[in-house]
Amino acid sequence: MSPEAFITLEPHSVAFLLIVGFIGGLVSGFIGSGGAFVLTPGMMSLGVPGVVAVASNLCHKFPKALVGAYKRYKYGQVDVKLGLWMAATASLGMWWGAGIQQDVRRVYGEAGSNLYVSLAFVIVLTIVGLFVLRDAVRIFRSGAHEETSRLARWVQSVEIPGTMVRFGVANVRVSVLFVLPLGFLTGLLASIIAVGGFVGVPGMIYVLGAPSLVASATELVIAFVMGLGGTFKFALGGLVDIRLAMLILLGSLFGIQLGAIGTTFVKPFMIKVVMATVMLIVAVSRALVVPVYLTQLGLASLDPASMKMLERTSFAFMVLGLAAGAFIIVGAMLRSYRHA
Amino acid sequence: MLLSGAASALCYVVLFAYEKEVMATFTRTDGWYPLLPVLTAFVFSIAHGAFTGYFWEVMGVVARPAAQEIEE
Repeated sequence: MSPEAFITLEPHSVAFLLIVGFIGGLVSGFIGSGGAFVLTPGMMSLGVPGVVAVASNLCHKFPKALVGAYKRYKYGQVDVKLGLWMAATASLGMWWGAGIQQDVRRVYGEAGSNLYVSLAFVIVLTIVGLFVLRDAVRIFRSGAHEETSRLARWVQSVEIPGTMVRFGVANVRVSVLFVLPLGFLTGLLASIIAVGGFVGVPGMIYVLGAPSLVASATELVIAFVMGLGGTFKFALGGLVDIRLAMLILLGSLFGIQLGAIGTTFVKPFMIKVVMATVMLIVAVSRALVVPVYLTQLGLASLDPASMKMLERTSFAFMVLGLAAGAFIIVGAMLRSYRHA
Repeated sequence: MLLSGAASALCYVVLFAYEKEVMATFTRTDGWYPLLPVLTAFVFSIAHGAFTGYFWEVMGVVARPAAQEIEE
């Protein structure tokens, strides 16, 4: 792509990247991922071609994840071994998912591809988000500690000789035959909706039995590896706009430091509250545009004005999802600070 | 903090002062050029990461190592 194809930066674009970068970083530092689902469409709305938006987002994601992972490592929350095992197959999942994306686009066109992405958002985030929310509400009501799920207890009880690995920080001993598919699914989801952590973090908590603090911190290791690989892949095509990536990073490093500090302020179940809130609002956002893509495919009929309104409302919901996550984090930190 | 702040500011000043040259070079696909965005991101993350860490510390926002025990 020639340099002329990259946008001229206006003050409002810079302000947008800094603010969304900061909020996205804050949420990422706390729950291990977030921000990409607003940043990528946000950059596109500034006139950035889709592929450059994806590439530039990835180029800010891996240094951000590196800083966040280092910070949370110092707090003793990162299980590097678990992160690297998951990242190994996450990269494969991402590669496989990208292939599926290309096939869907080739057969069903741009609208078909958008519909596929939106349906993945709605189905995955609704199911996982409701599950996480139910668990968070249960812990809040009972005042109990986090418990290992029944599924995780079963997974930990399965002994497959030669495949058992002990993950010290997560304090679990499981067969890697459970870890590897989970990593694959995380990468697959990352390739579709750009936020693999929405499967990776709940997966580490409910399937492997890792504490939510460790799961959300370990996700940053996976994000680093996937972001690094993805950036290099796009850089080979000359598609990274380093200005956009570094502007987002400018705000997001302030955010990720704050989000990481925030995890030491609050009760661990707050991670689940934030994750569920963000997931469910984003699911609503994507559900709103499904009729638009169905219309473009000739499977529904909406007038252009309604389509435009749905698209705008959808984007507003995405921003709301991220802002709500940041609001809960800062609120919980302030409450904890006052009570101390 | 001042050192990391100056390093971070220098990175951003150079990037935007030589915006056109940087974009022309960083989007080249031949040779080792694709490594440039990756290496740059690492350099920025070290300089700006250190600065933002100190920033919150100076602002008085620091981690609570014993927070979990207090809460639980």
